[in-house]
Amino acid sequence: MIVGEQKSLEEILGLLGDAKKVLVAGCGTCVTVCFAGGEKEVGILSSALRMKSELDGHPIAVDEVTVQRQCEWEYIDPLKERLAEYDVVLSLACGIGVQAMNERFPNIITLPGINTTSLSLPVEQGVWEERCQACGDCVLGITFGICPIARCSKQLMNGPCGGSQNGVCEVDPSIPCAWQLIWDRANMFGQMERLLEVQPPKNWGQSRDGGPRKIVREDLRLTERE
Amino acid sequence: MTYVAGLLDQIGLGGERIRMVNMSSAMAVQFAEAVKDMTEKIRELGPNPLCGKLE
Amino acid sequence: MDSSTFEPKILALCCRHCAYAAADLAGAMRIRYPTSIRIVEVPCTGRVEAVELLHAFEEGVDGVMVAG
Repeated sequence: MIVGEQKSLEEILGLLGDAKKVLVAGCGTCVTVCFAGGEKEVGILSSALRMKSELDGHPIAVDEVTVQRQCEWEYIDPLKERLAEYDVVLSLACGIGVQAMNERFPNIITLPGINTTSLSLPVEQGVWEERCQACGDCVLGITFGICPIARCSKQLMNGPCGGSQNGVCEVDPSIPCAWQLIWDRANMFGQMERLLEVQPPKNWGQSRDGGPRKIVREDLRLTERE
Repeated sequence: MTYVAGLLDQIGLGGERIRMVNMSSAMAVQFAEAVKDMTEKIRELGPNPLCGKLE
Repeated sequence: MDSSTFEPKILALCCRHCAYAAADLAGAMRIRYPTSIRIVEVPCTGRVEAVELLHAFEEGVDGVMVAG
């Protein structure tokens, strides 16, 4: 899932500047399940902002709203009527949600209240580990289900490198070596010879190197393209 | 609890204004003690600076 | 308000089975404790949400005691 982390109260107040009336907008999808920007977090942050701004001598009126999904027009459109009364919107959605709000409602600025950090797996309650980098050219099929792009510090396609020691990465011993994991798993299936084939350089054109990516599915579109 | 105490610190109210105590139903004396203790602590900290400011 | 005359308002969120029962017993045993406390019974302290604690401060309480 998309994982984020709330910005500090200080930074948020700095972003809000002179705003007198703020709508804190949460999102009921990814950021809710990672406890960064759902209804609960909206309530907590709003309350904290009201109190802190009051104590700082520049009281801000803060209202709260949480939509099911801030990255889809149909869920944010109902907010339109309400927005006129606010100076600014503080979104606790991921970067996509924040941009969706700015695109859909160009007359009001929507600020980010969280840092969108990664595509992560909640390996246990309260711990999220990065598992995918959305590289656009999935290699999990040849790496025994362990991603060397997201989990190898050097994003190597042939590994491990010389920095792999006792199963951990030289970058930080708290990082398990992805390639060690890949080899262990290949060994488990008795297919280590499959890893002997040298992988050519990866096509990063399907990742960010090709510029912002876009998917167009003509079969799904409702408007005809001439 | 730690989280909210941290938040109160960030807000500027002071994390000491919140406390968690554990006891069983038979611990009446301890309950009274906890209340006394808390009251003294809060008296030391003074009133909530927000009191009367927000409706 | 100086500290000698300041009478704090403290919200106590008490678990029905533990601290609330203890408070009840304290009453039955005629144990004296400060009047600063305002007890709210909750089914379990695990039911208390962070936002509720913050709202209490927004409403002006001077302290919150969660007793389980």
